[in-house]
Amino acid sequence: MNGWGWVLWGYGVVAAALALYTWTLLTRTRAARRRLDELR
Amino acid sequence: MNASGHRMGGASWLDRAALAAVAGALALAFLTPPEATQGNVARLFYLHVPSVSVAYMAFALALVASVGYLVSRRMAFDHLAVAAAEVGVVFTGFTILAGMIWAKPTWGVYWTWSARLTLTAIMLFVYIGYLALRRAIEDPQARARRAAIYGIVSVVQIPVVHFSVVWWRDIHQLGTVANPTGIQMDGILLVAFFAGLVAFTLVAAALVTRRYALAVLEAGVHDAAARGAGALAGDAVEAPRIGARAGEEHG
Repeated sequence: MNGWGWVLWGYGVVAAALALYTWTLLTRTRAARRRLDELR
Repeated sequence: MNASGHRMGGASWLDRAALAAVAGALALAFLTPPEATQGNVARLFYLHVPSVSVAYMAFALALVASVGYLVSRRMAFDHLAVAAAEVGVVFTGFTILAGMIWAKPTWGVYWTWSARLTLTAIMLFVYIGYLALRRAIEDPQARARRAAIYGIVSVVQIPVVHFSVVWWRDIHQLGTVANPTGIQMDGILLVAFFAGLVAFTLVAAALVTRRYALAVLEAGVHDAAARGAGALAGDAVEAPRIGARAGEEHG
């Protein structure tokens, strides 16, 4: 793999990890809001 | 709108600013000339170093919030501490991922047990421990107090991680920007680094804001559930009317 290959691999992995964390954060927020609505 | 001031489903001004800054930072990271000795692979610098800088900032924010909680006992500080610590863990993970992928073409291995790498891994696990500790304590006040103490003690390791390459011989290079002899970058490369730092700082701020809002919601769920459980217990105590029943049966 050449230099650009490593660069794309690195940025791609971090972008995927950031997207995954953001998705879990939004999912947890929606779940908490739903639970709060149920309890009220 | 939620407690953090933005709609839960939509993008806030901070989200948009972070996305714009990321687009600008990516353009600079990919369009700047290759570095003189490492070539294109050195572009991972613009990802790796801003990640760890933002992780340090997040852990410092967790420290400030932890002190704030112990001084004021306001839960808002506890919510901020968990938000900052969790985002710090995420960015430490980015640092290690980007560092490993940079290490393979430059050192020949993804990982080696050098002081800097080992201490960074320990920092990650210490803050994962902070998050685990919080999940193990049910009572919000006890959790906030113990987590605040843990959050304050944990920050001691950050200078050790940062200065490890100065204090011990290490395969990891010395600081390029925060170098004892001055900044070891020039021109457009330095601009690309600062663009990455600004972009990741905005991304982290957006994530901390949303994680803070989630902490507020979780506290609301806990309070609502506790009120519900209290009402059920009250019903159980108040339901039997022994005197009236006795009166009906014997009267």
